[in-house]
Amino acid sequence: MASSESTTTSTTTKVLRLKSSDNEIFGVEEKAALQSETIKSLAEDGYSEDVIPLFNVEKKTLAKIVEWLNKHASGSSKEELKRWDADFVDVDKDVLYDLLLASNYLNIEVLLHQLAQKVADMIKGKKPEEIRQLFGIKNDFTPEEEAEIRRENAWAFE
Amino acid sequence: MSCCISILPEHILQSIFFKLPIATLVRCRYVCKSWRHILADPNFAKLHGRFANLLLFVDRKGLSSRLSRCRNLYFLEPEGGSIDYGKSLATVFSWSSELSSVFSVENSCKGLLCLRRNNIDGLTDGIWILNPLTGEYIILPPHEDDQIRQYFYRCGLGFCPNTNLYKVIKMFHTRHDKTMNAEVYTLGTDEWRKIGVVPQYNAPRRDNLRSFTNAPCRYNWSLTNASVNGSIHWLIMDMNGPRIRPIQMCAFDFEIEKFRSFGLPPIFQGDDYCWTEIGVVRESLCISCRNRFRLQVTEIWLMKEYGVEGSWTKMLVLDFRIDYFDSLDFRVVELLENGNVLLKRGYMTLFLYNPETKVLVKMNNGRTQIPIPAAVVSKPSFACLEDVVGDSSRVLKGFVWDH
Repeated sequence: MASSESTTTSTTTKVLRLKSSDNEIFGVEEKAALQSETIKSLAEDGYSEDVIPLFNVEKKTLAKIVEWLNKHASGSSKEELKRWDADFVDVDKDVLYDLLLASNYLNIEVLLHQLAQKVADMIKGKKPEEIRQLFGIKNDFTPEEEAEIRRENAWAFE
Repeated sequence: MSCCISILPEHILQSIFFKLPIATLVRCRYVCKSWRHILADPNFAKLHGRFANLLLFVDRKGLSSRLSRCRNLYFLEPEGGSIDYGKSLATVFSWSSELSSVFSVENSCKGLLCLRRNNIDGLTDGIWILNPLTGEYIILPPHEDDQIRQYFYRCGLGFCPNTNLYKVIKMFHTRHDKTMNAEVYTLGTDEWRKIGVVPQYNAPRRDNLRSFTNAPCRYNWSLTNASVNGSIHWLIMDMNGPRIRPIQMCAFDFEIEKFRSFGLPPIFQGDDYCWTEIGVVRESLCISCRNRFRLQVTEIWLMKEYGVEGSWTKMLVLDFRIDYFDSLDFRVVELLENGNVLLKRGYMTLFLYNPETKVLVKMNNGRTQIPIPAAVVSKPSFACLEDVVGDSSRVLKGFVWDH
């Protein structure tokens, strides 16, 4: 590892090792990894020399997260990043939920917002039944309740 | 499917909901019980600031008519729900009715609308409180004296931040006694309470009476949405001089149930500024006023410290440098967080004005190419009325405009 050129304690080339819940280890440059507030506070707690255990993130999800962290620390142009992010969130719903949970656990606010925006874009403009189908949500209203809510705001179902 | 969106914790779902336009959120209430629950959560309601305000356009049945009732009501939101507004507005929904339209919109408070219902002769016969997004409503107890009803002028809904109570004030006078009396009703209770005489009220001169009843909020009673600090505000106009001119601002504090009044910004000491509207910008009272001689100039003043007359500060001068007559009609609808100003011109058009670049952009207001004499800014809320009144038996569901 190259020696630090900066006077701060962190260096641009230091690599942190992140361990997924299923014991896969990912090496990530510190600058990229510290975009996660959770990793940042674990690193500050003295984990930085060892492996940082991330009990709530599986390897397939952590691989994606690491990909995102690296890209967002790479100094890409705004336009390129925007295109890249659009592709990044264009995944199956299951992957999307895993990424949402992981970015929530890792406290990566920018990513959490991007993912929430993606889900919001999927919901936008849809009727209740379409939203249920899209996300596999069970309609738990009784027929009586259903009739009542349709009376409430009939236009919402049109 | 083993993995469902329901595995996401509530705050992630909330952050998704924050990114949705109101029109979609209304539909989300009907998806499942847990989504409905999240949206109705008072904590979710408290985060409303993250949503753009809804604009409520009231299309009245002929302004010159004695019956200034609503014909159509349009709820608009910025396209995509951006709090900075874009170039266009999208219709959330609209209500319309042909013959039986009997409501007028009095004001809006924390997502609830205060509606006044008029009978076929144009006389007020009730006050309703409605959450337009959920369709829930409450009908307030009727007036004890039918005689008074006919001369019943204004009412308004307010919220007491310390006690969390919602109250409605109504101010009215009778045919023979021109003293303006006030009564207050606390939502969830059974009766109106008399609270005495409204100060500073001068009955309109006989020759002004007609125009006064046509458009009451334009003159003595600009209650429209100027609710801040648990109080509702209106202007006291001097109707006796050569020109109608504002002389004081009056307030009713819903918490302590007392009236008070404040002086206006210094520009009103002269006779140059006439047409005025009051509103609320970032929790401060504001007043917009136009120069009688240079009609394209509108000034907006802010009362920086509530209740302190010396804190009136000139916030913005709008000078459109448009010489044509149309500039007469510019009105401030809302001041946005980013400093832009939403303006309405005439009955038809909305503009977004950037005071820094002095650029005026016409907005596409969707399908409402109809007269919109009144625009009310309303905060969207999915809060249950049952939580407001503490009693589900008073809450009615499925508001239909044609009642």
